[in-house]
Amino acid sequence: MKEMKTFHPLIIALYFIGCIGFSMFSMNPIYLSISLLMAIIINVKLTSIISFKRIIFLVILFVLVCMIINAMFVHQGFTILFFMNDNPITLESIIFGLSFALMISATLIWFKNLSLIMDSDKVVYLLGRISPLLAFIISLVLRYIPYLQDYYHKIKDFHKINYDIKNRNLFDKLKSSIHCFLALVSFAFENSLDSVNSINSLGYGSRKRTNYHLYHFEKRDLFALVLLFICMGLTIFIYFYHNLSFYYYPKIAIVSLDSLSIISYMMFLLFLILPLIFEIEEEIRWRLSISKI
Amino acid sequence: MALINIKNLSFKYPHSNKLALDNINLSIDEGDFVLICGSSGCGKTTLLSHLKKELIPVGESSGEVLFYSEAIKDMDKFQSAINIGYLMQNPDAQIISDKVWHQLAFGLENIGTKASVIRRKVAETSNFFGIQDLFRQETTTLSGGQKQIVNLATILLLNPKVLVLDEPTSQLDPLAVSDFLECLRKVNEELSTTIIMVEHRLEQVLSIASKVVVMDKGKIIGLNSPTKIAFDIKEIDSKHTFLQALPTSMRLALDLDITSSLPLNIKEGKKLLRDNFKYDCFEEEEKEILSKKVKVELKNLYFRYDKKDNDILRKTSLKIYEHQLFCLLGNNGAGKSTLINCLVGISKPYRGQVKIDNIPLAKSKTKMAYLPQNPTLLFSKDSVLEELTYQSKANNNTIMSYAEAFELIPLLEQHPYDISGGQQQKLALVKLLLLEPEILILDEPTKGLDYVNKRYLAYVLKKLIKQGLTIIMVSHDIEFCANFGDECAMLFDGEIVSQEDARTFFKDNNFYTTATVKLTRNIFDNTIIYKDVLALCHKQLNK
Repeated sequence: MKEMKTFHPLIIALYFIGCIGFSMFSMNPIYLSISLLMAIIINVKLTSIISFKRIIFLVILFVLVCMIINAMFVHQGFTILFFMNDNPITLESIIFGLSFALMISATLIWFKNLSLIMDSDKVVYLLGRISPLLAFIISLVLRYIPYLQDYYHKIKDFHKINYDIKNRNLFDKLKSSIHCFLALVSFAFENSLDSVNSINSLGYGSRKRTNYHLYHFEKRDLFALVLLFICMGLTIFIYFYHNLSFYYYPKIAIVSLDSLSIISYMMFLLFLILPLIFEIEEEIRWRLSISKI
Repeated sequence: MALINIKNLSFKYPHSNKLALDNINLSIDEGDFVLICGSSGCGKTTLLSHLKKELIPVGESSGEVLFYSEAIKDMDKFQSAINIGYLMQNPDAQIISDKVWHQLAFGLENIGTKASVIRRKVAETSNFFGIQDLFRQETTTLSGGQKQIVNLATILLLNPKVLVLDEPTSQLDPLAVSDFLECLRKVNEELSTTIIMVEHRLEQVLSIASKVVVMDKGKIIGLNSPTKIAFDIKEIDSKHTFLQALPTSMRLALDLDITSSLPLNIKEGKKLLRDNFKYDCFEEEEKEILSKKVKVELKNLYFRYDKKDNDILRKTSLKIYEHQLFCLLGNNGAGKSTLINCLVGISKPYRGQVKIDNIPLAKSKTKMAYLPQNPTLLFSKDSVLEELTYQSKANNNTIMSYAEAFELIPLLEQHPYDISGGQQQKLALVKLLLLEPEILILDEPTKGLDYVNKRYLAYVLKKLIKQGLTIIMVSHDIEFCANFGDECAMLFDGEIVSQEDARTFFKDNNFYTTATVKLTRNIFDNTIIYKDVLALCHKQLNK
């Protein structure tokens, strides 16, 4: 999925807002299944087939747990299957448990995909569009966390060598951890003084800050933007116009499968599948350019 | 008209009764490369900080500092940012962004430059400094030298007229120092940016500077071109520390008093020697015989961090003898710190053995102390005194006698971060000595120390060895190891490639050796350190 990472951060952000937003918003099992399926496919493309097995295992486990727990504790619904300890177990609550599990797993996997594609640069850029100050702070935090982590490990190592804490009791170990932490705090304060001087020396606050970035909004991005809007627009429009919202209680709604609903499902699928299409398109383009050489 | 004009500047820090700057007058022209020298605490950093509005310290001051005709303390923020660049000692504290490209753009973003303009400026500057390859890297992955070059580029992107540098190379290793100074030379020569720099490693800087200022106790005591300044200082005080810190060839010519134009580099120095002296061999005095009892032994160590990684140590074997100063040399990435980590037991080699006093490391009860490169890693308390008493079993008298021996008594109430780098190192050393170790390990102890502090360190180490310590020192400082080391070993590519006594070690090396050896090669034999060559020359002159 190299291709997806090269799109403008705005496009990527919109794509994920669409994926996650709609998956969370609609409880319609068709949308949820499509969303989960695509989330898994894209996750496999981003990582490896090994993670596929793990994800499938976790999803199935989660679905089962949700179904059982929901059925045991929620007794609403018309269709009673059987009684357990004088409590009715209903079909509706089992199905709701299933849909709920699909929704949560799809959302989680989408978030995982998001974190794989959105690196810190893109986040800083997007936040910088909203506020350059926010972008500056985030960038500072991203710089300092690994730096201080590294320093803390060094403090601990030297403390271990010089004070030989391996042969001591829990209380001593706790005390030495406090020592290391205090050493880190004084270092961080002292170091930040120099950093503030350096930030001021470079003219911070002398003019309204701009936000430099490495991204260009290309024609391709515009094309993707239009496609994303059409697909999501149609999906949502039909969803409301045709009233595809879904309910489980008191009696489970019927999944509508007329042509208009199918268009909406297809549009949602198309929306989610767009990165794959671009990926394949790029692959073909690449092959063609090689054959020309 | 002078670019920077300092007129009758005096300055006093609050709660201090002596002047940090005493009636300084200095004018700097466009395109100058001014080098400011002086021992620690002579006021050179205080002087520099008066050149940047944001850094002017709080205190009583009189006189004025002008940039063209404008007083620097009244400059507005924007003018200060685009006209005067200031680079500090610590490369890490000046990195503010997670990515190199973002760091480079930081100054330009601050002054409101449009993204498209920044793009172009960043590109050409990266080319100028040869840092394109770092462009998309995370700043934490850079080495100290790379960081300092990125910091320099960040400042120069604002296109300042003056570049002020406060000991920019003190935290870098020798190779990185050359790279950095090469960048500075390019900036000065090709862009004609005025440079004002404080530095105590004169060996490489003198040849690129155009003016040298020597300061002492808050006053300017000398101002001249690099080839003449030494004569001026010699006239004032023939034992001044500035003279002892000069590059070897220049110092020799000055001490022998054989020429009126001092050599700036080894090539000129060699010519001078060849013209005035004939071949001779230095006979060293009988040295005291050192103990040959093995204290630490590493046998065929193999180490790697991860199963899939390459070996960092390969069949590394090493014997370190008792009561000696052992120096471990080698370039960055040769595995020096890994070797030390194995020695102290932080890293476990997957093959091979570490023995101390002939007992395997795991069972050994020998106390070791390890002084890090950055002494602040050991500090967590609010005062020097608390720092000394932390976890030490020694009684108060012992602590006080150590504090007195290391001149820490006047600092006892101060915060460990408020004392100078040299003092911090002394404090860390005393702290470790109070734990009564048998083996002391030092990581780059001479980094950032000036000539006087280095001498002091050498004196302390020799004294500790007499008291029965074994000292292992990891260092890049060839001159220090040659002058004071007993045994030297070189680590290359995870292997110990040579281990000999210091004299033989440096005599047999061609490139990785002292300036004296380079200077006297094919002229004299067996001259390793400055004292040797000076003795030989005097002998011939007296005849």
